[in-house]
Amino acid sequence: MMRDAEDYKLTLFDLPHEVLEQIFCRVSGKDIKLLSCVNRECRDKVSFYLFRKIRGSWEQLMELGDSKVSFDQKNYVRDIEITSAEAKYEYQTNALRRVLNLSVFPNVTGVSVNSNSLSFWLKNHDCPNISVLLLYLASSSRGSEKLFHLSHVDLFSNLRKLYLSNYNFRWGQDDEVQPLSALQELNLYNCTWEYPFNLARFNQHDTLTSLTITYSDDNTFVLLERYLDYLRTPFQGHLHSLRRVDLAFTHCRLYNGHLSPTVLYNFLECFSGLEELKLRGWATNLESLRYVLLARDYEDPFNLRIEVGYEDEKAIMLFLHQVKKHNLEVKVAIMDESDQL
Amino acid sequence: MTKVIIISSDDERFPVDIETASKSLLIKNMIADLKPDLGDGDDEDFEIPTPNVRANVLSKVLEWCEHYKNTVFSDEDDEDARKSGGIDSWDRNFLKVDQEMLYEITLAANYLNIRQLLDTGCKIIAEMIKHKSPEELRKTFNIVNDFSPEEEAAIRKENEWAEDR
Repeated sequence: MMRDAEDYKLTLFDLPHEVLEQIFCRVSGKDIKLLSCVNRECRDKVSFYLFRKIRGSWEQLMELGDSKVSFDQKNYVRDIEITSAEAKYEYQTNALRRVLNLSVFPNVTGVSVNSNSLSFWLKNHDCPNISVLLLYLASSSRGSEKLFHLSHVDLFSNLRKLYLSNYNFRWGQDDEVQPLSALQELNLYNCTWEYPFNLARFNQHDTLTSLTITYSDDNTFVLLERYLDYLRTPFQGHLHSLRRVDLAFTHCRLYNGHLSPTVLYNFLECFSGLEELKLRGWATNLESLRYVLLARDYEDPFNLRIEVGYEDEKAIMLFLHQVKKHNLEVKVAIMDESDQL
Repeated sequence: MTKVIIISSDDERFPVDIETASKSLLIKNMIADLKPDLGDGDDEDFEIPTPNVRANVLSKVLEWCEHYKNTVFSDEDDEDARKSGGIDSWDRNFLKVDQEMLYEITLAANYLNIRQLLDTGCKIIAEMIKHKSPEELRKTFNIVNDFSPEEEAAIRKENEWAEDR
């Protein structure tokens, strides 16, 4: 074999972290684990990557945070994921503080929680060091929609990224809510809301730069007037801070959004400061979008990425050929099969 | 025609044209900042020292740049696409070199900011790591195990905290 053991000076682990990271992100976590068993030097060089995120049940992680279990890689930990959905710990006053013990994990800035319940429990936990909060639902039991209220995360004063999955929003204008003043990235997965809630409530300080909204598995919310209303007037009055918007449908057979020329026109009008608009999994006819795209002038560079579910290379090539315009860059891709049914 | 002269750490001079040199974003930006009118007239050559790239590595890197000088990479700004894309057969052949050279080329691509070459180098190194047992990895990378069986057990336990993905 060409690349097997030879006499050489520079080794893999002489490469700087940024390059190692590029290499490691192309292999699986399992491969990294095996690599970390090779020898001491190897483990030293891999640990920064391997232990950036750790995971466990509430109980396991509390023991770890209490230093009852030996674990030498604490300084590398940036993210902690609680994989067991157990409401009894959520409501235990010091449970989250034990998991996110700052004196044990000085560099932790992100936490992910598998949770079945409404977000009220977060009110008990003071987490000023956390900038990334991810609340998800591991079980695929659809319909178990949880309530999320912005006031529940009042104590997460430095929150920059918020990911919510399977939540329902219904707070109104008059509710006393401390808006998240540092929030930059919002990612909503199968989230729904009731009137008079408007998604702009997440962006009262106009700090949000990145927004991702995904619906999967034929979520019927997208058929409701509330959703259609949002397509017409997304983020009322609070959308100028947005730079990247990604609106996606995955694993949908029946109910995905229909990207009509009107819908696209409306997006382009509303999100005027946008640098990138990604539309994944929408039902659309590319040909019909052409005029909307060509009818505008783009003062600043604007990227439009469309991912379609069908494969018609010819139609795509023709479309790309036709939508040439100053500052406009359009890319069309075929959706990853794992995102399709 | 105006040339860019890239000088290796061991003082070897490599005259190349602007298109080839501009495959390196570092050099491209240097030209834009320091000599924006380069190539307009027949003024003198522009010398760029690369103090941490040896001549035999630099010559390989410039061979790559020369090969791709007229290629516009469509996934330049799309990190996901670059990550998942395969390895071009010319690249694969080009990087059939010994391990040290492969690391040096990758390192130089990182320093000179040649994204596509860096990506390809990383992909090939990743392939060397993939799907191998610790023993096979030791053989590939010429590494001797210095863990005791007890330590190995402790490591496996510690690794359980990390994700498998």
